[in-house]
This record gives sequence, C-alpha cells and structure tokens, in this order.
Amino acid sequence: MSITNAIEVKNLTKSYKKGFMLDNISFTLPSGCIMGLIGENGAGKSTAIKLMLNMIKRNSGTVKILGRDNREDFELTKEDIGVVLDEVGISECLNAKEVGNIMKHTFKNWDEKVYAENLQKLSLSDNKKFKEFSKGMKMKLGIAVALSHNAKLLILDEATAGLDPVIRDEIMDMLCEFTREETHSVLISSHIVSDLEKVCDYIAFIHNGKMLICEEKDRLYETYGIVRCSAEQLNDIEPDAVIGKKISPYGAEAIVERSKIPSDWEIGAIDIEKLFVFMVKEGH
Amino acid sequence: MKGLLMKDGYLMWKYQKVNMIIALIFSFISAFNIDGSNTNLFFIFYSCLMISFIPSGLYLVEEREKSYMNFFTLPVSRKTYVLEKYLLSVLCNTAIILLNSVILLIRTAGQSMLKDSLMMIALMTVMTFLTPAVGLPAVMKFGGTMGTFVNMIVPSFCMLLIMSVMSFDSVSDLVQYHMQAIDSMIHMDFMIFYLLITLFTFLLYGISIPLSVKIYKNKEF
Repeated sequence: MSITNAIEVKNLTKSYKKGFMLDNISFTLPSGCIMGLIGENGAGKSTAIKLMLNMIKRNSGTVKILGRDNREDFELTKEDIGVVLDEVGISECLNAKEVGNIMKHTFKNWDEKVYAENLQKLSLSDNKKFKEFSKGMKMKLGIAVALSHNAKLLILDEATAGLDPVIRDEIMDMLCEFTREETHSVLISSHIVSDLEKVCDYIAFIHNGKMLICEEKDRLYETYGIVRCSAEQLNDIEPDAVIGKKISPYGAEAIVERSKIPSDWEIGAIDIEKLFVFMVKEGH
Repeated sequence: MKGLLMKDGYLMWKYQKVNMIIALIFSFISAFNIDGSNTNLFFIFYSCLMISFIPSGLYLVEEREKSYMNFFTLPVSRKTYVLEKYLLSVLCNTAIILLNSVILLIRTAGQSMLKDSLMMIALMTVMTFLTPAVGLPAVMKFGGTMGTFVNMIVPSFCMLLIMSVMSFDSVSDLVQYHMQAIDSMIHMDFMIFYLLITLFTFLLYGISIPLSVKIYKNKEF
C-alpha cells in the first residue's frame, strides 16, 4: 500500500508554563518530498518535531506519520523513521561499531552491510569513540544510523547547525539521494535557509510558535517577488500586496505578492531567506 | 529490549568497571574473617550497595549525555526503557547476591551457622533490591542531583536501620526498647522477621516498577 503523505499535522498545539506556545500548526509533507522547516532559534521547530515523535505531550491536534496516528503503535512506525536530533544523542564512550551492534538489536530492518557502507562513504572510523568525533562527524554518524534501517522518512532537527559548508553540502547531497526513491521523504528543520533552499520541495516558516507559511518552494517563487524602488514609489503599491519592506537612505526593498502588483512594475526573483526575514520582521 | 541491554552492557563496562571491580574485591575480602565477628558485614553490604547503584548510575550517565533522548527516536517505548533498567537491576543484584552467598556459605561451612547465613542472604536481598526500588523512581522523577540524593540517602538510611535492628538480640528486645506497648503483638522469630522484610522489599520493588513507568510516561524531553 502506498502512502500519499509522509507527515500530516493538523491543528497541533502545545503550551508551556513559561509562556511559549506552539499555536495550532498544520502542514502536510507528501511522500517523496523534502520539506524544510525554517524558523529562528526558539521559534518552535524542535517543539514541533518533539511533538511529532511523541517526546512531549500535546495540548491538542493530530499527527499522522506514514499514514498512522503517532499515538497508536508508534514503536512500529518508528521502525520506518530515521531521526537525527541536533544533539545526536549517542553515548560518548561508544564507537561506531558498538553503535551498530546496539542498533542491530533495536531495529528489525537493520542492515549491517548498508551501515558499513555508510561509515565508509562518510569516512567514519568504526573504532573511534563518539566523544573523539568532531561535531560534523557526530552528525554524520547520526545520519549513517538513520540511513541504515530502510527508513522511509528522515526527520532531522538542526542537523546542519554548526557544521562547515563542505559537510553541510555533503549532507544535503545525501538527502537528495535518499529521496530519489519516491516513497522516501525528509523533514529537515534549520535556521540556515540557504541549505534548505537548495534541496527542499516544500518550505514551512515557523515564527513565535505560529506557522507563517507552508507551501511548495516553486509556488513561493511564483507567488512572491521583490520590488526595488524609492520610498515614495513604494507608497503607490497596495498595502496588502506588501509582505515586508525595508527602507534605507538608498531606496526601498519590498517583498510583494506578484498578482497584486501592476504589470508595469519590475519584479525581481526572491530568495527564500529574504522572504523569511521580511515576513518575520513584518510580524506576519 | 535486547538493544537496550546491549547498550547498558557497553556502558557498564565503560563507566562502572571500577565500581564492579571494587565490589568483586570486597566480595572476595568477605571470604576472610576480617573483623573477628565472622560476619564481615561491611564488605558484604558495601559490595551489594555498589552493584545495586549500577542501573540508576547508568540512567544518570544517559541523562548527562542526553543519550536517552535518542532512544525515544528509535523503536523503543518508554515502558520498555524503564523495564530494561529493572531487568538490569535484577540481573546485577542476583549476580552479587549469589556470589556473596556462595562465599558466605563456603566460609561458614561446618560451623552450624546456616540460620545466620540465611539471615545474611535475606539482608543482602533487602539491601540490593531496596536501592533500585527507591532509587530508580527517584532518579527518573527528579534526575541529576536530587535523584542521586534520594537514591543514596534512603537505602543508606535503611541499611543503618537494619544494622541497628541487628544489634538487638531479638525483635522483641527492639520493640521493647522503642515501643513496649506493642511488644506483645509481634513476638516473632528472627527468621520470620527477615522473611517478612524480604517479602516487603520485593513488594516495594514490584510497586516501584509501575510507578517508574508512570513517571517516565509523563516525562517530557
């Protein structure tokens, strides 16, 4: 049976005593796609992922992972999920070989051969202790584990934070390779928007616990554009067409909805990072 | 469960090796009549206490390294995680009780001390199983410092209590000393007393398991 959506989140809400609240977020990740969950630090990305993994309790809402509610037989569902959190969470004293032995007895579908290949591909020593690995190597080991049990869905929480561009690029390549199979999907959260822009099919913005936008990346390019003009010219644009603006002594820059701008205006292509920054600053 | 046991096996070897070796040395020292009393209480109980701390010690290591979070991204339920810690404690405790019991029985062979030896075995059982019964829910609920405090203090207090009880010739002496009024109600043989406190410990241990599961199911990471 093929599953059309890898993740379906509906009206997910979580409030903390400290005041932060993940407010009624909904999104869907279709199978075979990569979704980037973008948000500044503390926006609620990790909370959303922890809720999806049932690590914390929700106030309301539903989460379906690979077609199954995450409150029912979730251990079974987790056989098909590979997760890498920002802190990989492998004991400092273990080496890659020991991690492999543990996982062999944890996952039913653990593939020792694939794991050994992944270690080799990622140039990871199998007898070096985890604490002796650099941050990038630790992350790579987490990814090697996540990719060695025939997972259908990868969930990565800030997996590229603090890594150098070369390793980040390698990781992004691996994600692209993973989703070549149409039943494989990836949800990756990050505040490094440029990484996600390269590989993601879907983009979701979270800000202050609220979902600002969740859309196909290409559709965002089609819908929004950037206008560069003077501050006075900017006043000629309908206010509801402006998503966000930046006025400086040298002129004005505004992210606009293309459909609401007169055809004689020159509208440039946006990048996702700019769209995100403008939306956040504008308080959408 | 097998994966969790294997992980704890690795962690025990890497983090608790020294404790295990010291416990073994103390067990073997207890084979000799050190203090002249023929009981070697300190060496026997200390080895039991060190081994009984292993599961909660490993939990605290995982908490410090935040590696327990990783286990909830794997196909492992919270209940399985907790049950594995209790299974580990049963394995560790049984091993040290058996070792100490064999040493004790060999040492006291031919001395008509079977009754005393059985009492010692009962006390070892109380000591080793009481520690995780109290300690595991405490470390899972409070974590870090507070959990360790409860984990260390409560069993130590119980050990002191047991030792003080042992300093009396009979239960009735103890009761007369403390509460003469109820003395007549509990005139019982010391063997029955030890059997009862052993059963009570197992009861506490049994209650501790669902309690820990409940605590852990409600824990947020």
